[in-house]
Amino acid sequence: MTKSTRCRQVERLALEGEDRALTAEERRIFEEHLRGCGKCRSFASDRALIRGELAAVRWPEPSDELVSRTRRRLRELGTASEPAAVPGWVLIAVAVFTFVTALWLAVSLADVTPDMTLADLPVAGLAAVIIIIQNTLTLFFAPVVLRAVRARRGVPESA
Amino acid sequence: METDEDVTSFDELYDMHRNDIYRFACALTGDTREAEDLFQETWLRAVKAGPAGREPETSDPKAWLFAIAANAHKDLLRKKRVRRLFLVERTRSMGERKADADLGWDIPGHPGGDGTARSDVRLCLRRALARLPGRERRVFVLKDIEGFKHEEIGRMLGIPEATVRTLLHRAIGKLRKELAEFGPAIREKAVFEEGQT
Repeated sequence: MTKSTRCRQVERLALEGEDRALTAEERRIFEEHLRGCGKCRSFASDRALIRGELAAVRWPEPSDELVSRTRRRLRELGTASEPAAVPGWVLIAVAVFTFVTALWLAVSLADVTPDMTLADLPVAGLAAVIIIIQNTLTLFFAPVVLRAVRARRGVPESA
Repeated sequence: METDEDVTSFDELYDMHRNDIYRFACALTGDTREAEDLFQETWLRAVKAGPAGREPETSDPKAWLFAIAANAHKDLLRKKRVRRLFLVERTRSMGERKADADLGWDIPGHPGGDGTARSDVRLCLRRALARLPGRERRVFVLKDIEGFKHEEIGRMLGIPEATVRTLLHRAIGKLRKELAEFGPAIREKAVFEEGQT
């Protein structure tokens, strides 16, 4: 067995020794090797240093505010009933409505040219433009509204 | 819908393990805000999964909660990677600040002098931990901070025990490289100071 293979074996034993008691034979191999190998002694001492430093860290506890906010959310979630499934006819109606709107927009805006102003548009064309603007604004501001509602309910943004 | 009994037992679980989960979140993220998000996300996922979501092999509630937290951390890092694509510079500067945020790593009663070596070693260790890849960091924290065995960590993360050992060994190697800058004398002094505490 080469020295580096032995070192790897001893490092593995060092880690296993943290999980279970080493057998007498394993302990003998480990200690004998450590006496003659500076590299493994350094591994063992660094390992002790890391574990010692981590054991001395005083980890903080969650703030009372976080504890009560989370508990409130958990209770809300625990007592909330499952949202009802959307009936099939609603989905079909939404799909039909979307298709009819798209068709109406296409027909209303078919004669619009780039040099036309809003005043030049026919009533149907003007209504189509207003609907497009309204939808664009909704699309842009929906996340802002959603975030505000979530903040009011105490839900973190990442949830 | 949960019964009153479920809510009560979950409340007990929450009271029993909230500090453990928060400590784990702090060690994984190294940042108070992210730790709070991870803490809350873990409990929300746990209550959504309910008692039925607990697999027989993770019948230990603590291990089950840690497994949920580890998964939530994985998702958190994935989200951060996506965000980083768009906000490279900002994320980088936040990362630097994050490593300096105090999460209990300071050493009270060691304003200088003898405590300096330990302070430096600990700061270095904390920064090195923050730089570890997610998988290695999770395994390392579960082993060295939470004290789980290799086998338990493997079950929690859904990876073979041999992989746990490899990841742990790799993480330790990286931390040792960072600590190497101190030289043997300071490292030994830090170990000595630790022994005196």
